Formats: sequence, structure tokens, C-alpha cells
Amino acid sequence: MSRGQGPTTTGRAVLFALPAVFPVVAVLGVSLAAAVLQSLGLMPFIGPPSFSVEAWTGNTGELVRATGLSLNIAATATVLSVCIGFLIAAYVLASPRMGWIVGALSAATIPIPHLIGAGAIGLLLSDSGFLERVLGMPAAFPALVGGPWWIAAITEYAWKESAFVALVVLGSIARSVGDLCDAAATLGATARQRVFRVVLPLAMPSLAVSALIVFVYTLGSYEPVWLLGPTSPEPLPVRAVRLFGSVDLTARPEAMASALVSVAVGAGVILIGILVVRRSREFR
Amino acid sequence: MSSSLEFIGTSRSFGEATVLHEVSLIVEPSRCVALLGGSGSGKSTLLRIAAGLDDPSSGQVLVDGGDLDGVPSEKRGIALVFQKPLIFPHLNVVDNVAFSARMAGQSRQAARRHAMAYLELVHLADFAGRSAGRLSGGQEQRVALARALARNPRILLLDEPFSSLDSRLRENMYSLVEDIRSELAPTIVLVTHDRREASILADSIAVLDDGRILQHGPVAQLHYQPATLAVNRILGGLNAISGQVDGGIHHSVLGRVRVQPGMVDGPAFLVMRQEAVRILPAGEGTAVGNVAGLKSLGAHTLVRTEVAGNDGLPETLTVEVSGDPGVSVGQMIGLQPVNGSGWAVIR
Amino acid sequence: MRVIAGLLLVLWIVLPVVPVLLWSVAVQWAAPAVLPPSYSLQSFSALAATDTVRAAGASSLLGVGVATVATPLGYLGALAIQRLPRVPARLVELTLLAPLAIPPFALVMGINVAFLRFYLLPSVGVVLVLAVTALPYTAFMFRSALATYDSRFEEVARSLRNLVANGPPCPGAPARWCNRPGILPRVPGGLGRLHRHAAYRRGAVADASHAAGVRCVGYRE
Repeated sequence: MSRGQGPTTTGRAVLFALPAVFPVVAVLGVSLAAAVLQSLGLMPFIGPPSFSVEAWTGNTGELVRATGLSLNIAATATVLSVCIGFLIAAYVLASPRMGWIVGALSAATIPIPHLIGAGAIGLLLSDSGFLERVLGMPAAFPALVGGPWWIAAITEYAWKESAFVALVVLGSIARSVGDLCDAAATLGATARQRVFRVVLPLAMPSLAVSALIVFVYTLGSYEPVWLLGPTSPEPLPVRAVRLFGSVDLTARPEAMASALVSVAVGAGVILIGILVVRRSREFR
Repeated sequence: MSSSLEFIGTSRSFGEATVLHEVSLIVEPSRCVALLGGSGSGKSTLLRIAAGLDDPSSGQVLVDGGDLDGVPSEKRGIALVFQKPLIFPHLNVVDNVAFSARMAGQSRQAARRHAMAYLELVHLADFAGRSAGRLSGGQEQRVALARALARNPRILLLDEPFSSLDSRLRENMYSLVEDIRSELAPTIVLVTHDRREASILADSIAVLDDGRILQHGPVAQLHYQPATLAVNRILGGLNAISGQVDGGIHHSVLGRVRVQPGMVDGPAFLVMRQEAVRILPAGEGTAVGNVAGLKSLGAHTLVRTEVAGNDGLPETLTVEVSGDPGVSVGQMIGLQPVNGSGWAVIR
Repeated sequence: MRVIAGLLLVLWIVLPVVPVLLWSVAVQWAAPAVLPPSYSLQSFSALAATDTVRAAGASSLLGVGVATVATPLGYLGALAIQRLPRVPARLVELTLLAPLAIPPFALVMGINVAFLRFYLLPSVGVVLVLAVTALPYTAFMFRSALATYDSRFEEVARSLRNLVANGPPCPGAPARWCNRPGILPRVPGGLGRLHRHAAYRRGAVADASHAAGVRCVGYRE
């Protein structure tokens, strides 16, 4: 190892680090500190500061419900994205010609922003939307957009993020998996066994990492749940942004509390995720 | 448990390029055939076709007389050991070897018990619990061999599995293959570019060049009775002396040499392996040569000589001598074939 | 079976885009009709409208501004991670990754009032926040690029160094030319993968933060 070549090199490296680290620490630090101060009434938009924990304790039930809802949506969307993403990846690997088309189409959806994706899913799944028309306007068509099960929003996340999961999985195993599947086939593994006994375990590390990314992203994402979900109950980001934009400036501390809860939950999930991934690696 | 394998007119093209031209080959049960050829000769493609990893453009592959067309890889009962070990990184050593039994629906315990027997066969029983990433190259290839054998294959295909090992490890693998042959007697097709490896391991060698089988026969036959100059070259023969066959006798700068019966009269090359010529003091032997170069092969030395006859141009004859040849460049020496008779080919 | 699976996957990927494409060329498209009764490209004329052009210009300007800030900073961060001793390097690495973990809306909501207090120009604020959210990507793109570069030349660097130490010295060349450290630590598997694939998320996150950022930071306007 030839890193840290004495004090001068290290000193220069610290100088290199500062311009990148400083803005991150400043923006994150100021943002989080300001959010904490605002949530406690110490940094009001107008008027004198006055300490209060009202934003945290006044409506705890609603805060907890919003957190639970956000976790539920993120968990469902993550499970769906990981499953569908893996299926896409496995299909691309298993079928030479058709797989190439599926892979290319899937990758092509990656640059579509979630906001556009939410609009597209809205046009597809809404009342008298494209899907209902294709099905011949059945009377029993369920309320997918704005309905109680958040189906349209979760579908949007699963649609966008499954393509991401597939891309990550393919990127990490595509090079090695073909030969290993050949070896497995000559050892008597059927196509299904090759997918679940070779490709799946090989994809596991990249699936875990991408699941973590998808979960944290959906947890803190605003547009799809706001556009496609019901007005009540609210997930954390929707609640935070609504309170933040409220004409009633006294709602600010509550907005900050919601935002901080979502930051904390995200950070907690990442920590747990890293621990789990590390533990399973040691176990192996 | 071993079966016969037969290719009948097997061809394979990739777009414009034809890799295999109507290859026909029979491998008898429990025999070991080496497919010898350079890179691009199509030898690996032939193995992949037999294993069901690639489909022939035309022709058939038969096992015990049954056509394998449409039978997927996993149902063929043919195991393939690749050039790369391809150990499953998510499984430890014993579970790699137990893979085929697990796929066949055996319990983890039974599969591992079964696998241990094969790990013992390749002398790796102590490594059973080791993770796949912590093996040396030779160990990996032995695990791959054990894993293929644990499948109880009807036919074992080896695709240059030892080419990335150093020479000492390779010798170990050769004796391991011999052990396996005496213990399990599987039908083996070995693909290699190394004629020495082919000669050591195989009962017969099929020489593959440019997608065609040039000759298939026992090891000695290929060395001393090649069908063509190309076979002679691929098996490392250095000498082909041009001349005329007349009444079963080849006339050349080497003088008159009796060749195989049935050889038609006319121009022909006398194929004489460098190991089958002896160096004598000047004045003795059937021909006179002028030493033009010496090349050390370690324990052996190649002596290149210029042989001038009574008529025609001088020919180059190379002689392989064990130990110090005792000659120097420019020296005149006598030359004599070890055997009284020779082997002639027309092309 | 396999064909059906393929078609289902294609349907899953393509279906949400179909109504968007159809709506973009539909004149009028009332409820029970499965396909629009008539088509026109009229909607696309909106692309030429002054508002759209101005918005596109503003977005491009913002993108260029953020890239101009985040790219060199990311390069410096990657260099620092490469050269610092192990523990500080890890700290810098984690710091530069941290913006990924914080929902963009939470980031801009908190900082909004602070920017007001500091009298920061809104455009500067937006660029700053977006640059911070883009830094993880630029830093780790450069990081993996540097890693492959150096592992490739590691051998050459070492043999040059040996030449200087043992063999005939490079004529007239000071030893330190050949003494450049060439060996890089390997990125631990999971984290490395995270870095590599984080790049794919860039579009999504930048867009989300863009939307939220403009909405929140630009509040004062």
C-alpha cells in the first residue's frame, strides 16, 4: 500500500478534499440544523423565536400514521421492484434475442423522470383511463388512482425502479453468469433451476444494494404519491410539503418535524441495511 | 455407465464462417479420444455441440445410437469441464461438487455425502468446507473435475481443462485422469492443442484442422503413419523429404527407403520423425549430412542438417538427439533411419 | 412459456408509455374510445411557445451551472479519497455519499429559511443544493475511473520504481518521477457496486430535487 505518503502528500490531499466536503457538510448541516430549529420554533419564518415541542408532540398520532404509511408504500414498492427487476434481468440473460429487446426497452425507461412516470401511470390507470378503455369500461373497475390501496403510486415506483434494479443486476453479473449457467446446465440444472439456484444467488448482493437504494428513494419521494395517491391519509413527504407550503406559516414547525422524521427513518434503514449486508457476507 | 458417442456429418456455421465441416467421429465406450488442433480449428465447438450448449447447423450427435437432437443440455447426461474452472462462487467446495445431486432433487445431506467421495478421488477432501474464492488454480480445476464426475456422466468432455496450469500441476492432473479412468472408466473426449497431452491421456487422437477431421487413429499411428503432411506437422513431425516412389521404394536424398505396401508409384514425401533418425560418423549410414544448426530442447537437442543427394536440391533433415549430440555446425555426419522402412504420403 | 413471459415483460415496460404517446398526438379523446378518433401534431407546436423555450433555457442553464460546479469538486473529492490515509478517506467517502440518503424535499425545506437569513441569491442557492445532490455521482464516477486507470498502470509504475532503485537510472530523470504511488485500495464490494450504479439514479434524483428545489428554494420570488 502506498497511500498517505508522509505529511505533505496528506496535507495536499486534505486540501483536495475540502472544496468537495465543505459544500456537502455546509448544505446538509445547515439544512438539518435549520430544520431542527424550525421544528422547535426557534427559527420562525416571521416573528420572534419561541421554544415549543408542539410540532413533535401536538399531533403524534398523525406523524406516526404518516411514517407507517410511508414505510408500507416504500416496502411494497421495493419488494415489487426487486422481484420484477430480477425477472427482467433473468429473462434478458436467458433469452438471447427477445431478451435483448426487453433489456433495451427496460433501460430506455431509466431516464424518464418519476414526475413524467407518475403522469403516464395516471393516464393508464385512472378512472376512464387507457386501461379501463381497453378493458371495455367495466363497471367494477377499481379506483387505482387515488384509491385506498395506493395501487397507482406503488405501480409507478415498481415500474420505474424495476428497470433500475434490472440494470444494476445485469451490470454486476452479466459477464460471469453465462458461463456459469452453461456449467450448471451440463451438471443437470434445468432452466428454472439455473435461474433460481445460480442466477439468483449470484445476483443477491446487487439485489440487496439496489433494494436499499430503492427503499430509501421511494421513502423520500414526493411526486408519485402526491399525484396518484388519495388526499388522506398522507405519507410523510406529502404531509411535509403540504404543511411547508401552507398559507398558515405556523404550520412550518410541523412540516420540519415530518421532514426530519423521514430523514431519520431513511438513515435508520440505511444503517440496518448495511449491517444486514455485512452480516450476511461474514456468515458466508 | 459409459456410453458411446458418435458424430455423423456434424457441421456448424456462424453466419458466413463455417467452423465445422461434416465432422464424423466415433468414440467407443470407456475410451478416451483426444481432439487435437490449434485455436480456431473448431474443436471446442464440437464439444459444445455434444454437450447441448450449441446446436449443429446440420448432422447428428448420437449417444449409444440415440439421436440427441432436441434433448436439452441438462438431460443429456454429458458433463463438460471447461477451460476455466467456473466454480460457483456462492457455494463452498463440497456444495459445488454436490450441485448436480442437489439439482436432481437429493437432500443436502445425501448430496454432500455423495460429493465427499469425489472430493476424495481428487484429493481435496480436506478442502470441503472452504469457500470457492480461496482455492488455487489447480485446486479449482480439480474441484471442477470432481463436480463433473459427481454427476455420474455417461460421457465426460474435457475442454482444455489443464491449459492454464503450470507443468508440474499438469502432470498431477494427468495421473489424476488416469486414476479416474481406471476407477470409473467414463467415456472421455479431450480437447487440446498440446500433442504431448493428447498422447499421454488418450487412446486415440483425432486431428482437427480448419473444421475437418484429418485423421483419427491410435497415438502411435498418428505419429509414425500420418495420413497427410498436415497431420505430420500438427503432431510435431519436422521432416518431409520429397522424392519418388517406385515399386514400393522411396528414392530421395536419403537414398532408397522401403515404404508401406500399397503405395502407388509417383512423387511422394517421405515422412520421417526426428526421433527415428540416427547420427553416425561421416562415411557411415545411408546418407551424408552437413550440420546447419543446433537447438537445445533441454535434455534433448535438435540437429538440423543439410542433406545433398546425387540429384536434385538439398533437403533439410532434423534429428532429435538425447543428451549432447557431439557434433558442431559445419561438420559432416552420416545419417541412418532407425527402422528399415519408412512412411510416404502424397500430400 | 418463455415467449409469454417475454411478452408480459414487454407489456409491463411499454404499456405506461402508450397513453402518453397517444395523448400527445390526439386531437380529442373522450372516454369510451380505446384509440383517439383523430390525430394531429398540433400539441407539439407548444414546444415552440415562448414559455416552453424559456423554461427549457432556464433548465439547461441550471444543468450547466450544476455540472460546472459538481464536476471539478467531484474530481477533487475523488483525488482526496485516493490519496488520504485509510480512515480519513473513508470519512470523506461517507460524507460525499451522504446526500443520497436525505430526501431532496427535506434538504431544501430545511435550508430555505437559512438561505433567506444569509441573503443568498435564490439561483445560487438552487445551484448549490443541486450541486451537493450531484456530488455523490461525480465523485464516484471519477473514483472508479481513477481506480481502473491506476490498477492498469500499477505494474508499470512499480517496474519503473524498481528500475530507479536497482538498475541503471533513467538518465537525467529525478527519482520522484518514477516514484509515483501506483497502487490503489480495492473498493469494498457492496460500496463499490453502490457507487457504480448510483450513476444510473442521477437523472431521477436530480429531477426530483430540481422540482422540489425550485419549488421550495424559489419560494421568495
